[in-house]
Amino acid sequence: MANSDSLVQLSDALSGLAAGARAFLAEIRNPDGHRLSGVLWKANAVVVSEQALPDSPEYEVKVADSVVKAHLAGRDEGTNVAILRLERDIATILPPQAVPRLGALALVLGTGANGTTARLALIRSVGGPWESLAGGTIDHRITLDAPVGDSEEGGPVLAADGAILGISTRGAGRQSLIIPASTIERAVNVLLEKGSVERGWLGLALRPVALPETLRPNSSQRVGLMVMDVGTDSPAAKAGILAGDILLSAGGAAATRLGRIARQLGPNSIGKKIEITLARAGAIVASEAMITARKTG
Amino acid sequence: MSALASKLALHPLRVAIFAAEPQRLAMLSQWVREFGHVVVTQSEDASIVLTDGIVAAGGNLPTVALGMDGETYQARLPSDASPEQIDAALRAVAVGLSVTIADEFGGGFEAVHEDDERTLLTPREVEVLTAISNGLTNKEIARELDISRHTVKFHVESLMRKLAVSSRAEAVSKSIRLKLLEPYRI
Repeated sequence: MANSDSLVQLSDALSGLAAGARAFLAEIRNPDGHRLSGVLWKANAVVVSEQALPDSPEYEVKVADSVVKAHLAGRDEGTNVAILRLERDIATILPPQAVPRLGALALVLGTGANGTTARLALIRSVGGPWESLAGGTIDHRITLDAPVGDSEEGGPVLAADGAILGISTRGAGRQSLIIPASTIERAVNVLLEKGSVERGWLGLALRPVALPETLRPNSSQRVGLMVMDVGTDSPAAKAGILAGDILLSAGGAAATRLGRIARQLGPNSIGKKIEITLARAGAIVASEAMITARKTG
Repeated sequence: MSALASKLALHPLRVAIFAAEPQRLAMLSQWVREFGHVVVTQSEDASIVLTDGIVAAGGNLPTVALGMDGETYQARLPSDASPEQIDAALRAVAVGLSVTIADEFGGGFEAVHEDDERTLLTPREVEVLTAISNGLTNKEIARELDISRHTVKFHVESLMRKLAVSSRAEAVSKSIRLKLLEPYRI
């Protein structure tokens, strides 16, 4: 009977985790009746998935037996984190934060039509930092092997020891992802204080291109980023960059991947100068641009 | 009009609608009526079920479910599906098809797309592909880029080989699908 005992223990452990999450699992509703999930991250702040949150002048947040009105504190498309500020604090203790290990079990919690929902997932992959299309850097690319339903998106994902790994979200092709707790933690503080997360901006529209041999700055760099367009009055325009130039490096990093360049334009880059090398008309040209804040909206 | 199209136009569907929220129920009912169907209140009178978040609403009837990812239904759409998508799903399910949202329309939090280096186009090929997708002939491309028609032909052949396509039209449609000409803005 040893085997069935361990199955009972696993089952009990999982249902224990789900019950414990009542203290921070949030159900969010807007006046249209649209429902989604979130995490009570601080006593006055609920984290939700930015892409899943409809615009609304007011939301209703339910955590355990408390129902509190809430308003949008800010959105960060770059990390897919939005924060709702509660009108009244709800006492909470968030579990310790952790980065999962590949192949570990995770409990994916959310809300559905019939109350709290739970899914058991395997940590399908754990990668390094990645850049989102919207310009944010996420600490780890973590995928799950369980689907995440519409109303479940934004709910907490817990490790077997009860640690919070982050919130669930959906990537391209309905891939289930975790926004890691460390990335959320950074966004929460900035959003509560400023309402948005600023990012650096150069005003360049880029496309990767294969470098003809004559334009390679060294034998190992076979790819550059072609400038398709330069924004009017943008830092790139002021630095004299022209459409048709090919970006070879920026800030010392070879311009072989879009993500490598995007990574240098984080919130701390604003106001700093960045060295740029370009291929123009068969010659290599050096320039320097002053990074400004990207307009959000 | 095809036989199927005329059949759909002449036979409005009898739709039973379920939603947890009264406002949502009213909105869905309005959409369904606007598309020419009949909204019924009893499942027994219905030929099809449209449900928003309520499980097992219609017994054995074909069902279009909104925002119910984990369940098995003939049609599963996101909860923010457009009225047109809902209408198309109702009609499709009524004639025995199943419907899910295509990945391209599913959205989702996306990573920066990094192209495969092996099939990356050269700057000239990007210019030529842009010109082809603007409908220019080789002669016009040669004039615009100030290169010979022979050189244009060389670039066209090279980019078609990289894209693994056999016609200019296919090159354009593939470049749209793979977002090959869509720049990343920083």
